[in-house]
Parts: sequence; structure tokens; C-alpha cells
Amino acid sequence: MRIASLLIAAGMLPCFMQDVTAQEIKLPANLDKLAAKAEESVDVTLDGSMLKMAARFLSGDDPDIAKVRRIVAKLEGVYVRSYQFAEEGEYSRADVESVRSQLQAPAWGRIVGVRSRREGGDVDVFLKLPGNGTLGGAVVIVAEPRQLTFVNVVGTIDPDDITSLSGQFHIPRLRNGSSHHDRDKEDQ
Amino acid sequence: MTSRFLAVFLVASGAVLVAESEFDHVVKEIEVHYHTKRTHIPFLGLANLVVKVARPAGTSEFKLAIFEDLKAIDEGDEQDLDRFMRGISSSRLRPLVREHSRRDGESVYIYADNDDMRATRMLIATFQRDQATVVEVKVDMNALIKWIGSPEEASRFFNSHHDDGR
Repeated sequence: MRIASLLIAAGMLPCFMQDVTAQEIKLPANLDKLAAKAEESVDVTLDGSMLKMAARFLSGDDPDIAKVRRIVAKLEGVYVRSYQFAEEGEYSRADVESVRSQLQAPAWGRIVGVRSRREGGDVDVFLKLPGNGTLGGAVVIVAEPRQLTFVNVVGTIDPDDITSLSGQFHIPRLRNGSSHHDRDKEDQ
Repeated sequence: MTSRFLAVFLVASGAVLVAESEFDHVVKEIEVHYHTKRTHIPFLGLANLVVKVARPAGTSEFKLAIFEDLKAIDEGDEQDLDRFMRGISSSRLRPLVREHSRRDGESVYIYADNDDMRATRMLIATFQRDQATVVEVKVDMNALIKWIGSPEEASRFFNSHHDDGR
């Protein structure tokens, strides 16, 4: 099932239309300790002014560039933390929960949850619906045995845009409801 | 009226000086912190010419500094490096990407100038086991977005121009 279809369908669910309090998600500073264990780590910080600048000055006829320009114009921030480990078990469930727990607020709904029995990888997509009918942000968590990635997109974003942004700014490629590393996953 | 013109001129000159000093500021901080001096690079002008003429991927105005024998950089001490780089960031230099690779023994930091302009100055600081390079290059937004997605490629790309010029 395509992730975009899932997101659109889920975005229409009335249970997410309730009046909720906006809440920003913070990627905890203690995630830095994971960088010390990781074989590779990446930290991308694009704030609103940088994204607006990108939206103004990205140019060209490439439809992908045009799409990115349209998307980033509505965003207030893109934050990515990605850690790749040499061995399995280098990060704990608590590291994932430190972000996931923030997404229990009523403003947030988990739209996609993919679990891989064979490879033990999880992909979760959370969307924020502040109550005015627009989507106010997205968080993607990709937790694989040797790789952990958090993506926090702040601002107005359509579900389709998440897939369009994947592959940009170190956001993992998402297709068919999974990250690009995954095969043979099972929807939960 | 004359004083107003003078004030405008001084402010404009100051802005230019600040804009041009970010590269020098970072270079100086590395020299002080690691008790080293940037290596003289023969034919650096040629590398600059390559960038100016070829303008690969929307780039221009190329500056490069190389530091060798940085014994103070301990392998796996990325947090110290992060603290150092945070310390030398200025309000005009916006940190965009930080990448550490223990596999390659390399850390890459990408900053962008704070100007709201079509082309922005991108500063790439790369630390390897015993050497560091600092590159400042003017890039258009398409190029900047591309390099943000592949910082290690940016580092290798601009350092290869240096190697070609040697």
C-alpha cells in the first residue's frame, strides 16, 4: 500500500479533526550520545528563514525542484537526526521513546506504522493536526536494527509532500510504506 | 547630507567586511585551537579559476585552507569537535549539516551565510584524522540544497579541485 494513500486516508479521519493544542516536537539533546556510538551520524537543521530563502531562490524547470520549492515555502523547519551503527543493539527502545512519547499529545496521530518481522525494522509516520483542518507538521521515525532516523518537519505539509520530500535533506526515502532499506515488510 | 552618505557608506563597508571575514574567522580559530598554520597551497589560484570558469553546480568564488598534522584531533572525539565548531559559529554562519563518519574518520560541517540573497556563501569544514580543510564557496540555492543532501560528496568535490590544482 502506498504511504501517500495511507496518509491521505488517515488525514481524512474525523478523529483527528478534534480541537487540539499545538505542540512542537523537540529532538532531545541526549540523542547526541548516540552520535558517540554511531559509525555514521548526520544532523540536519534547516530553520524557517533558510527554507523560505530556498523557496524564493530555488530555480529551474526540473519538476522535482519545483515541487520541493512549493513544499518548503510552507515549512518552518526540517530537522533530521540519523545514526548508523556498526552493530545491532547500540540504541535502546528508550531512545526511540524519548521522541515517540512527545507524540502522544492529542494534536498528533500516528498515521503509518510498519513493522518488519524479518528485519526487525519499524517505520512510523506521525502527523500533526492543530485543529484548523490543515496538517501542521510531520514526524517520521525509522528504527532499524543498525540505523535510527528521526525526521521532524514543522509547518504546513500535505501527506503527499512527505513522500516528495523523502530523499531530500537526508530524509530517508519512503516508498511502499517503508524506508528504502526495507524489504518484505508487514503493515500493522 | 554628507554625513548621512558617509554613514550609509560605512555601514555598507562594514557589512562587506563582515561577510568576507567568516572564512578568515574560522581559519584563524582552527589555527589558534590546534596550534597550527594553514598550509601554503601552490596553484590555488588555478583551482579558483577552475571553479570560476567551469562553475560546477552553480558555484563561484572559491576559498580553501588546508591544515595538516592536526595531532590534537583524537579519533572518536567528535563531541569535542562539535563543541569547538559550535564555539566558532557566528550569528552570520548558520549551521546546516553536521556529519560524522567513524568508518572514514571524517567529520563534515556545512554552514551557510545568513544573507537573504540568491547566492549564498557555503562554508564546508572537513576534519580527517590529522588534517582539516575549510572551503568557502558561493553557491546558488539549487547547489546548496544538493550539497545539504550529500555533505561528504561536497567535501570530496571541493577538495578534489584542490588536488587537481596541486
